[in-house]
Amino acid sequence: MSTETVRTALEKALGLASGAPATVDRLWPLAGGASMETWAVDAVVAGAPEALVVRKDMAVNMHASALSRRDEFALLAAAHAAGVPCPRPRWVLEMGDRPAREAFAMDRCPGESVGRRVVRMPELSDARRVLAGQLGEALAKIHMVPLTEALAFLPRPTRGQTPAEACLLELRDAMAALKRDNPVWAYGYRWLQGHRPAPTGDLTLVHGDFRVGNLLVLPTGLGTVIDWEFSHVGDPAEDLAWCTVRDWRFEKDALEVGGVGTRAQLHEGYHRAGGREVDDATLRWWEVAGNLRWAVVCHAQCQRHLGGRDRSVELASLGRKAAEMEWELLALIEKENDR
Amino acid sequence: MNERPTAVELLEAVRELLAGKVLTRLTEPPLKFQALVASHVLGVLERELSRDPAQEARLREERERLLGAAGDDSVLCEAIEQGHFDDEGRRRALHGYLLRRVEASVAVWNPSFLPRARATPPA
Repeated sequence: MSTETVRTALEKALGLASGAPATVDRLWPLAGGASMETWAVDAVVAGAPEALVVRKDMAVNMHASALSRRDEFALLAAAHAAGVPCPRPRWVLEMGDRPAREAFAMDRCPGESVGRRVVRMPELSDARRVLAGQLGEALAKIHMVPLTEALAFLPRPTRGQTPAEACLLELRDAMAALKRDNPVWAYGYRWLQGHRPAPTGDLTLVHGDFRVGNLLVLPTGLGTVIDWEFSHVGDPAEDLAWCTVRDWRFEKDALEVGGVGTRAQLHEGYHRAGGREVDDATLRWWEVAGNLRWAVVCHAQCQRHLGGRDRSVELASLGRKAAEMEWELLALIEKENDR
Repeated sequence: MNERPTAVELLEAVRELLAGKVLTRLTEPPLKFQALVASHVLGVLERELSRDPAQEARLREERERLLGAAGDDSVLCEAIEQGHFDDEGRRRALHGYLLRRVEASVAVWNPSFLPRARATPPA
């Protein structure tokens, strides 16, 4: 869609949603994840200047489990109200496409999101000293967001199923869909099955992609947590483990939390902000699961290229990159067996 | 075939063009990133073509020893799923094989990964 078409549609949609005149002064595309279009928008709504980000579903939604824009809007509203550092959602937008696709506008927040830069930029060195602790605090708040009726749309384990079992089923389906016959995956999956954490009955909101790369980082520290499309109800240990997966350290491997800090800092921040006790073995289980999941997702991304849907050397190369996560998966399992 | 330039030498030449003159002239960030990935991928091909041909044969033999018969990855996956490697000794043998295999792949994909990861193993 051309920028002019988007501008016209946006002005109309913002006007309708706000009930006031709206003009768009400037808009430009942002890299927005795999399943949607994201635009930065400078607008004037009801006479007031607004710096916004607009997220819009793409014609084909890649991930069956990803939230719709309308649901992402409702989730952000609940998280923002609960004091989670996240962008304030503003309006659900009817963009007038045929077939209709959903979009919403939220406040545009400042900060660096690109992981390689977050772990390296000299301007962010003060931020890196405190970031891991702030991630723990943000997670504690996320895990305390009340699971009200307004969030009933969130994917969750079925009755009698633990979050770990739900994760295993999702992994099994994703692996089966790829038809790769990868013995490392089979071995990792078998290990995960045999070491499932005991159910705690503790179900919370889980961000689902909480890591460096999905944060806006300011020179002073964490700005906001973004990219909520994989949120679900599950085990809080999943988020605490996912942000320690080696690939999210952006080659600063010694700093186990996103290449910026230590696990001790993360957990200290988590407990300081009221986070619950989390069992170490459960965390390690989710770290193994996280590495397997990321390896499988890399192949799913590669398949977008191989299947002809999105030809891209970057997507193709992810299929080879999966070997890094497979190495880590084996290293983690070996460590567990030595315990 | 011993033709010169070899496939590796040709790939190297294209990679040098891409990583040098082409990349420095690209300004649009997404395109620049794609070109960077492309030059990395050419390096992957150079390493893959330079691999010891005996390595693949050794890994295949090791898989056959584990299975006790000829069989491909789908046979191995099925054996793992059915618990044929749950016994601790068998599991260790499988683990060693998988590690050798993954390390061969990852060395082709990204030579900087193994030194970095081995220096910072899971705590």
